[in-house]
Amino acid sequence: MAYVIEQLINGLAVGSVYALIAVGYSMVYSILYLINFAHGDVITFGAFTALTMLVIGVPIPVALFLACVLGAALGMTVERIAYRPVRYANRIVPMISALGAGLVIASTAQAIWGPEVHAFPQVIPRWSFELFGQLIPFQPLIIIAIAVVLVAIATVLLDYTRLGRATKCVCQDIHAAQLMGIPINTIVPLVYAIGGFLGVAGAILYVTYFNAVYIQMGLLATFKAWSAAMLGGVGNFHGAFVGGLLLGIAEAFSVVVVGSAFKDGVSLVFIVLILLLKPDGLFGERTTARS
Amino acid sequence: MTAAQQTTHAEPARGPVERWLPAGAAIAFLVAFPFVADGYLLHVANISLIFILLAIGQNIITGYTGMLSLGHAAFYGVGAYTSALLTLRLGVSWPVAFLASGVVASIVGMLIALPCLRVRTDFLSLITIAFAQMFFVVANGWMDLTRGPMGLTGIPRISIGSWVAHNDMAYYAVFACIVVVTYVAVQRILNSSIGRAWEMVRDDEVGALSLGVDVTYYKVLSFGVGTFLAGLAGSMFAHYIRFLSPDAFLLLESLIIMQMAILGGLASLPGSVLGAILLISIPEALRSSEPLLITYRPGLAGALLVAMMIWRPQGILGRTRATPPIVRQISDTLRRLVGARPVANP
Repeated sequence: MAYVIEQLINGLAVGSVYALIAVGYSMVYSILYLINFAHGDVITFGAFTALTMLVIGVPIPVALFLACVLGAALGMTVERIAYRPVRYANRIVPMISALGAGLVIASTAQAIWGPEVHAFPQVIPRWSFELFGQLIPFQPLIIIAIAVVLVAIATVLLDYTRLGRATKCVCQDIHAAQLMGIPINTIVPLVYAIGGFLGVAGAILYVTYFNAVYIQMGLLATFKAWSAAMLGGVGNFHGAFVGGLLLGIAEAFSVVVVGSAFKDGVSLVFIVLILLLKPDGLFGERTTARS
Repeated sequence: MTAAQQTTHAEPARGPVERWLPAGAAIAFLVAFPFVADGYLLHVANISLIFILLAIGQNIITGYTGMLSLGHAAFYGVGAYTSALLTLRLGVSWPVAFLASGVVASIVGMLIALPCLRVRTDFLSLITIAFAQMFFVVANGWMDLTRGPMGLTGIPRISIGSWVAHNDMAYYAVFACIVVVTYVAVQRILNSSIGRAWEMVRDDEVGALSLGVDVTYYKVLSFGVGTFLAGLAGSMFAHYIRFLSPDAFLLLESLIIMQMAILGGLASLPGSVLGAILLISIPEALRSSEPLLITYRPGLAGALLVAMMIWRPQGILGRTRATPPIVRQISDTLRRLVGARPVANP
C-alpha cells in the first residue's frame, strides 16, 4: 500500500510536468497544425540556462523565473524567424522549418554546454514527512503544486481575459479571426511565449526530479508531451493536463508490471493506441479535416 | 488521358534535345566515372549511389505525397538486417535477399504508418521517430538475432549466380544499374495516374477526397514504395560495408536523408540525386580539414533547412517552369547548328 501511494504521487508529479510541456505543443498545433519540433529543444535550452544561472549564484526563484522568460522569448524568436515566413505554405513546410530550428538550438546548446549529462542542483529539497503512518515524499508534492498553479494561471489567462478569447478565436479559424480584426501577429507569438514559459517551467521541474539535464532530453520530452496532449485531445488545454497525469501514473505503474527498461515505451504505445481507437483524444471534440 | 489531366500536367514544350540531353549526360558520366576516379572516390560514389536510393524514397513520401517521415534510416536498417540475416543464417542468394529486404521494409513501413495515415497524417513524423527508436532498441537488445552492439560481421559480398563482386568497381557497376533502373521505374510511376494522385493528395487532400481519390490508399502506397526503396538501399549497404551495427541507423541518419531530399528539391528526382551526392561528398571533403564543421553539422544543416523553407522550398533543382538555362543554351546552339527553330520558352 505504501508503495502504491508512493508510485501514485511520483506518477502524478511526473505527469503534471508532462502536462506543462504538452501545452506548448498542443496549443501551437491547434492553431497552425504545426508540430513544433523546436519546442523540445527550446525547453532544454531553458533548463540549461537555469543550470548556469544557479551555478553562478543567482537566487533560485529569480534564476528559475528568468529561465522561463528566456523560454518564452526563445519561442517567440523561433516563431518570428522560422515559422511566420512560411505560415501559410503547405503544412509540411513549417514542420521542416521547425525541425531545422530545433537542430540549430540543440547544436547551439551543445556548443555551449557540451554533450555530456549534467547534474541539476536540488532547487526543491528532498524531504519527506509522515502522514497517517505513511512516509510521504515532499518534492513530488511541490512539483504537483507548482504545475497546478501554473496551469491555473494559464487557464485564467485563456478563459477570462480578452486576450484569451482572441486566442480561442484564432484557434477556431485563423483567417476569419484576422478578418474580424484580431491581431494574429500578436496572438500567435503570444501562444509561443506561453508554451515556452510553461515548457521551460516543466523542463526545470523535470530535471530537478530526475537530477540530470542533457541535450537529447528534448526528444524524449517531445514524445511524452505529445502522448499527453493526444490523450487529452490535441488543442484541449485541460485535456492535456489530465492526459499528462494519466500518462505519468501509467508510466509509474508500468515500472512495476514490465520493468523500468520499457517505461519510455509507454508513451509510444499510448500514441499508437489513441490513433487506432480514439484519434480525437479522450476529451477532444470531433474535428473534420481542413486543408 | 482526359483534357483536365493534360492541362494540369502541361510541361513546357520540349524538343528531343532538352529531353534526352540530361539523361544522356548522366549516363555518360556514370559510365565514364570509374575510369577517371581512384579507389577512394569510387567508394564515395558507391555510398552516394546507396543514398540516392534513400533520398528518392524519402522524396516520394515527403516531396510527392507531402507526408513527413523522420524514420527513413530505420527502414534502411530493417532492409539491411533482413538481407544480412537471410544470407548469413539461411544461406539465401543475394538477389533474393535484396528483393526480400525491400519487401520486408515496405510491409513493416505500411503496417507502422497505417493507423496514423488513416486519421492524422501530421503525426506520421512522431510515429516514424518512435519506430526508429524501437528499431534501435530491438536491434541493440536482441542479442541472439542481431548480436546487438557487437554488430553482424562477415556478411557475404554481393553475388549473382556464380559471379561475385570482388572489388569496388564491381559494386559500382551493380549499384549504378540498380539506381538507373529504380530511377526510371520511379519516374514512370510518378508520370502515371499513381503519381498524379500522390501530388493531388499532397496539394489538396479534401479536394482529392471529393473527387473520389482513395486518399488513405495512396498515402499508404506512397509510404510503401518509399520504404521499399529504403529496404533495397539497406541490402546494398549491408553487403557493401559487410558489417552492421544498430548505430548506423539513428535519427541523425534519417535527418540527413531528409536533408538530401529537401536540398536537391522536394518533388524533383534529379534533385534527390544531386542532394545525395552533395551531402555525401561535401562532408567527406571536409572531414579531415574542418572537424568543427562536422561536429556542428546538425546545427548548420538546421539553419540550411530553415533558410531553404523560407526562400527556396522547392530546393536546388525543384520544379520550375522553365528548362534550366544551361540546358537551354546547349540545345539552342545545337538547333542553330542543324538549322532548326528554337523552342519558345513559355
